[in-house]
Amino acid sequence: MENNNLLVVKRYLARLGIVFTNFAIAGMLFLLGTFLSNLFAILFYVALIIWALCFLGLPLLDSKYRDLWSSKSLLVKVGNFFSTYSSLVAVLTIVLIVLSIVLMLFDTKWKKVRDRFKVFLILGSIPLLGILVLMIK
Amino acid sequence: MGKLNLKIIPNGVEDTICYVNGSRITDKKNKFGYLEEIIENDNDFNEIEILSFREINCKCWFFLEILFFIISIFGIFDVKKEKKGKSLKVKLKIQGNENVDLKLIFNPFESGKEATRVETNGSYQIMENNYYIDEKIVKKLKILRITKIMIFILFVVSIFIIL
Repeated sequence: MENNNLLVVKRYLARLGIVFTNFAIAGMLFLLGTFLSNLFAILFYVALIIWALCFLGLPLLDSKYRDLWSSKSLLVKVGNFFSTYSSLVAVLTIVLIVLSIVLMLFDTKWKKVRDRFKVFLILGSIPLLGILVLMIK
Repeated sequence: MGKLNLKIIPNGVEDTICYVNGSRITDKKNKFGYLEEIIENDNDFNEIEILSFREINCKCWFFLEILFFIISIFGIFDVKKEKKGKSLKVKLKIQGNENVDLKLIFNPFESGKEATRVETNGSYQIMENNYYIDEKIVKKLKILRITKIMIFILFVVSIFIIL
């Protein structure tokens, strides 16, 4: 029977190949996860800025938007609420930004991509809903 | 010249090597997961031997296993191997120098029981055909398990010391 040492070497080399393949797959998943979550983070910030501009910035900057606050529609009521409690909105915005930064940093290192994806989806949907309401209006 | 059509159906049994008349046949499986080989020779009989083959049986097993444990980050990215020392030994002799079809079908593992079922159109003689637990491998796996746990504990302790 042939010398089995060669077979042992072959088996260990094949095993090494599998280990490196697993590494590569894990690395790609990690990069993809980081990319997706950062993409969502950027989308979230963009949405947040638009949301803040629509509800707070534009009525203050341009007079034609001030009517938005004085009409009786639900959207305007919401707008009025936010304008009345603008400091609250500002605090809420800062809290959201800080929270998302903390989550982003925390998530990148420790949590699974899936959880991070969910968090940004939920957080990002709040300002997105605001934009959607404005668009419908 | 006689021809032996050998077909081995592993049924999930891995890490085996097959010798026909002393020379090893290919490990490559067909699309159904079977091993197939046509052996031609002038002998009146063919001797087939199937053995369990584990890398852990080599000389540098301890060093290599620990190296793989470290490289694969505590075995996370490593290949999952069988850990109970399941082994088999099959040895049989097929008579006749004409065309013979031989099919070896592996049974589910049960220590001390028959390892393969033989289906052939020729006459055959079974010398060995049984599953068993290889105590040598079990002992080696035990040593490895303890060493791996110790390495992990040492790693955790050293991390705490550094931090």
